[in-house]
Amino acid sequence: MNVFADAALLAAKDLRAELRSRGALVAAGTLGAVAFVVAAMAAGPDRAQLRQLAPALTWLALLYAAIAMADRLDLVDRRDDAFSALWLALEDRRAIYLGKVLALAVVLLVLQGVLFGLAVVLLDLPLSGEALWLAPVAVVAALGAAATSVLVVALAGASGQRTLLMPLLLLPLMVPVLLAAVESTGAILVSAPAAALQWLALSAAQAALFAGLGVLVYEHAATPE
Amino acid sequence: MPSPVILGSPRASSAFVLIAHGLTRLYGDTVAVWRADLRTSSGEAVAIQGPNGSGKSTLLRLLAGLATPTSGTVSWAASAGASRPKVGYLGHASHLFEALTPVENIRLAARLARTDPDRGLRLLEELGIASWAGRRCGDLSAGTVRRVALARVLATDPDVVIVDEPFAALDPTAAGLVEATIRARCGQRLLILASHGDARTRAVADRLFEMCDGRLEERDTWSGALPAQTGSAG
Amino acid sequence: MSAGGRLSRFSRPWVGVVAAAATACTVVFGLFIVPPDRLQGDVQRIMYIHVPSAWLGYLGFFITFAASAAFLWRRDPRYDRVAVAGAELGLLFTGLTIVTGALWGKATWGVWWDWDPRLTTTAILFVIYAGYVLLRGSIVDRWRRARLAAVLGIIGFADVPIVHFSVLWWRGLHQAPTVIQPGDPTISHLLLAALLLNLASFTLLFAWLLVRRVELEADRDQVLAVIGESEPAA
Repeated sequence: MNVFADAALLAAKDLRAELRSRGALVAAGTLGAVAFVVAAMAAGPDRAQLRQLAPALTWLALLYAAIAMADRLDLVDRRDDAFSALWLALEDRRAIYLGKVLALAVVLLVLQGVLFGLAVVLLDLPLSGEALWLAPVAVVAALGAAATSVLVVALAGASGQRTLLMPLLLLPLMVPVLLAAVESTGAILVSAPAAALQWLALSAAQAALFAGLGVLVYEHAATPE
Repeated sequence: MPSPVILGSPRASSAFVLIAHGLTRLYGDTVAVWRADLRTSSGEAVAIQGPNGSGKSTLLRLLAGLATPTSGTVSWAASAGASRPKVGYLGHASHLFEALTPVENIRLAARLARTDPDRGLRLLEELGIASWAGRRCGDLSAGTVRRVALARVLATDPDVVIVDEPFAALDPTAAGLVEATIRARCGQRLLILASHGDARTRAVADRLFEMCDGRLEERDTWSGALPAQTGSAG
Repeated sequence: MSAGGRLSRFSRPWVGVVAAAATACTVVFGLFIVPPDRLQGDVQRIMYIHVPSAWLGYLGFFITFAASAAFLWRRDPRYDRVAVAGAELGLLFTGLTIVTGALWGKATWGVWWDWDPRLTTTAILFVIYAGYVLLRGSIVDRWRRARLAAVLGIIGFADVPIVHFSVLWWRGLHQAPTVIQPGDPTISHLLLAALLLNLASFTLLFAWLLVRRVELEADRDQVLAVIGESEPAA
């Protein structure tokens, strides 16, 4: 399938650009970490309460970093109008959308790893074997968040209010992904992974819905003028 | 000057005819292009000249399919076997990924276009920029970037080559290399160049058009001055 | 008028007068003629506004969704006009829904806001379509605005079921939801009649406003077209 091969090529290009961009990933990780620490401080020093809030704090900080990274990955193509060349070169332009989703999902997974590690250390979270369930939660959340963000960035990026509209349009659409991630992480941390399953299904539904919508309408959203 | 290596074009046999009819593009109530008509085909080189802001760049984007006309049409007729032409477009921007090197940019473009990357890479030598091939494009000088950008366009083996200001930002030596490359590589392709009036662009072209205030008119010879508004417009 | 004869007949002022009068009558009916609810008392009368508003809010957004899909499919500006009309009216009526829901919540539960799943989903939908209107406002080019807004009009509505389930489950985890039972047998026939009459008159008002808004957008396009059709300045 050419479209998937092209998408993989484009995702590899994005990841290579990010790795080479002198610390953009480090900056995004730091941004997430700072957001996490500040949110934890705002919640107060009570250890037990913080431990209960850990999933919410972690995923909120991640959402914050995700918005920044979705914007950055879009700019890889926008700078020097590289996008026009992709637009003309590709037989199937859905590869641009799929590639971007793939690249953003990988970046988000890395950020999740960093932030979750931070949460475990700072909030002294108990980890049992059931914590392995966090892996599918993270993967599905990353795909859902990426599939949604890439579509929204295409809309906000073409408007005159990019920085303002992106979070404004993205946050309400991300409610299911955020709630699913927070609730399933909470369930897994109290060793009740079965309760995470329906949330995993919901998150997967969002990922599938937006990936499907993206494949259908991305070309309309991204047409250059 | 290195002798150019001829790029064997797998689709060299398919010829295309471009028919632009009544092309108009408005931005709000500003007119960029007004009822432009153009008919040209593979093997022809067209130069479009005119002052800054006359609508050349918008016209090129319309022809490339990177902008939507407010009214009018761009259509392509093809010889048997071909469907739509592959368009190579180089505008004012470089269309390169600045975090990648020239080699990586050309490899990516070639792989997406299903052409041989190595043949594209030879263009870097031909254009005199092989020594920069390993640097990030974002770190290169404007004249070097311009040549890498042209190499990327030609590496995709396009049927149609559209270049806005092909000799801008180049010193005479570099401009000579670019001219030689365009002459060697674009003989069978449909070539459209725009500039605000340099002799090199005219020397490459078979046909000359002038553009003023969004209107496109064909000329037999370059007047040397910017055209005054004539009664035959529209 | 490009909006078409059938529409403009419906948009005549007397239709609006009838719609407004019908709405006024049914509001009077709901406020003064129908007896207060046995359990909730006079507070229940908010439902006569709340329920039709909620229905029309969702109807407005559904119209935007359907018109957006039709626009992307057919590229006919008429669908875009319907889409913007649906979104603005949807915002008006979901706004009313949220305010009346909060008022009812204060009187019944003692709090303005209690994360009732349906009200929360409605509030999220309100924010999504507020973004829709803001996105439109930030894009100057008419076609680009229509195209991008159509994409948001589609994805915003398509996400509603998932948003609703997420809020429902989330709410179910933290506290048993206290929602109004629609099939409540305590609703008397007179109460039901008041509700249905309000639904009908509100819907008539909605339809009239929708048609007027579509016509306004059509007039605006026509004015812009007249400006754009002028010859470029020489």
